[in-house]
Amino acid sequence: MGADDAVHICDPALRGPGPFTSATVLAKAIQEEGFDIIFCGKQAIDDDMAQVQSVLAEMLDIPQVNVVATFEISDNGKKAILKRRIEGGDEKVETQLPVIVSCEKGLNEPRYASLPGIMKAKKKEIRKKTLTDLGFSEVPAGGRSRILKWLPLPARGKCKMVEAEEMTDAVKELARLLREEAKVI
Amino acid sequence: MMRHTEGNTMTNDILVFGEVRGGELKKVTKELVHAAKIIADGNGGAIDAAVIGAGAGKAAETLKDFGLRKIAVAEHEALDNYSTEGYATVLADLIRSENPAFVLLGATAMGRDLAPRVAAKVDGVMFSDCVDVRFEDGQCISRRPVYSGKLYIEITTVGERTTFITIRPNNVPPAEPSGNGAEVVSFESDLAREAIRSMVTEIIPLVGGRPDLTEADIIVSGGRAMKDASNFKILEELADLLGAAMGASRAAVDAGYAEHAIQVGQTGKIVNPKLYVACGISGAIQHLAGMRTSKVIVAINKDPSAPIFEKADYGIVGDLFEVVPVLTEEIKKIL
Repeated sequence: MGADDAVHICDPALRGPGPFTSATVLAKAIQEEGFDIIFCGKQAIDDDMAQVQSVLAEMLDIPQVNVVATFEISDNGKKAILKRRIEGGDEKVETQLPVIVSCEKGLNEPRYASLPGIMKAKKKEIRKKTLTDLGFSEVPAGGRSRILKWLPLPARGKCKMVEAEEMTDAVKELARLLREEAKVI
Repeated sequence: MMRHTEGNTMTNDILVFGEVRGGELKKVTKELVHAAKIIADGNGGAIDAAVIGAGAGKAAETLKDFGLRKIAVAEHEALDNYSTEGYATVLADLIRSENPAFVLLGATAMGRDLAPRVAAKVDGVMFSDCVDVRFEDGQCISRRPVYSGKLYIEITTVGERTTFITIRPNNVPPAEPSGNGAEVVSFESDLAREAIRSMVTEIIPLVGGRPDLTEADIIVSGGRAMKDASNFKILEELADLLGAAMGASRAAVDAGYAEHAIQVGQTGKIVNPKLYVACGISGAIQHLAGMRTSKVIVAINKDPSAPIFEKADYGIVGDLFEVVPVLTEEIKKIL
């Protein structure tokens, strides 16, 4: 894809970290590397918390722009102009750099990795860092919450298939059911 | 006039964030007040609200008779447009001086952006996108979906820590008016426009003028079987008849039939309407994650084995291009 460098923060103690733990560890690692813009996803696909990027922004004392659909650099690299998705439209945001940006699908078209790129990538070192490497003697900012229960979704009733000889009769029955039985129209 | 002062120990009060968009208080605010009352019934404590930005004073008036103790209003030229930094500074200052145990915000674009930043400022803990709260055995329990809505977890705070809860719109009923008028006070933070490094400069509305997906009571949604962007017109006719919002599946968006802004699903909008009409949508897990909590789901699909029928309440096996126009006509007759 074209990344120049990569760090893998990897420590058995970091199993299932909460957002504050992740952000604290990332803040330390990122400060050691230096940065102008931090790109990340808008939320994790397991716990869907969508907190790490904003907590990280606060810890690094930089602005954040979340759920970004378009991004351009302006003012000779000092600023960026972004659009972020909100209810019923987009918000246009002007921000100074450095900044942390959480990305929405559609921000760009990811390039395909080229064959020379893949060959070069094989020679790159992915540096591993543990909590100790980052100067932590224990898992930071943990133990803030406790999951009491995991619950399955409540079962939905069986789907009522509306059928009739003629499609129009079935549709008519559906309209009646929505009005009289479900009372939603 | 209130000023920011550092308070002492945590109270068991609850602070509700009243989100203002276009000078109006968001509908979810009254739902948050309802959730706050559930916590207060179990844990005691007073309910306050914070309303920030242009039009906050006027918006605060509409919250006056809902059993709140006090409504803090922050209006300032630096707060006319939304900025994470400006709004987070005000909320954090208010929290530091009032020491609420709970802070409730809507799981909206603004609430999701603001809550974690403020939680970080006051070193709190946050539960995102909750669908229910209750108070039981001396603790506030928040229920939230995980793994794209395949499961719920119930989660609670450990230790004494300000707990931020964002609640999805349309999940909790709105509070009914109760009690005497709340005291409306203006709240001041030390805030300078120049100190805010990132700010909204413009809001660009979606064309169409339909209700917002996340707040809509009814949604009509199209999938890959729509075949072309222009075919969405037949869904629009039904949507306009019902005053519904338009949605689309990821497959329809990826195929270029609809804008990503109306995508329903894990990588789009999470919706919870009273009625969700899925037209030509197969029911991939990614889509179900965004709409499975809808009260009534109607599926229209040619394929009788489409997984959407397993989640639907009413199903018609048929070609949406035949079924939807007839449905529009039939509903027109009975409305």
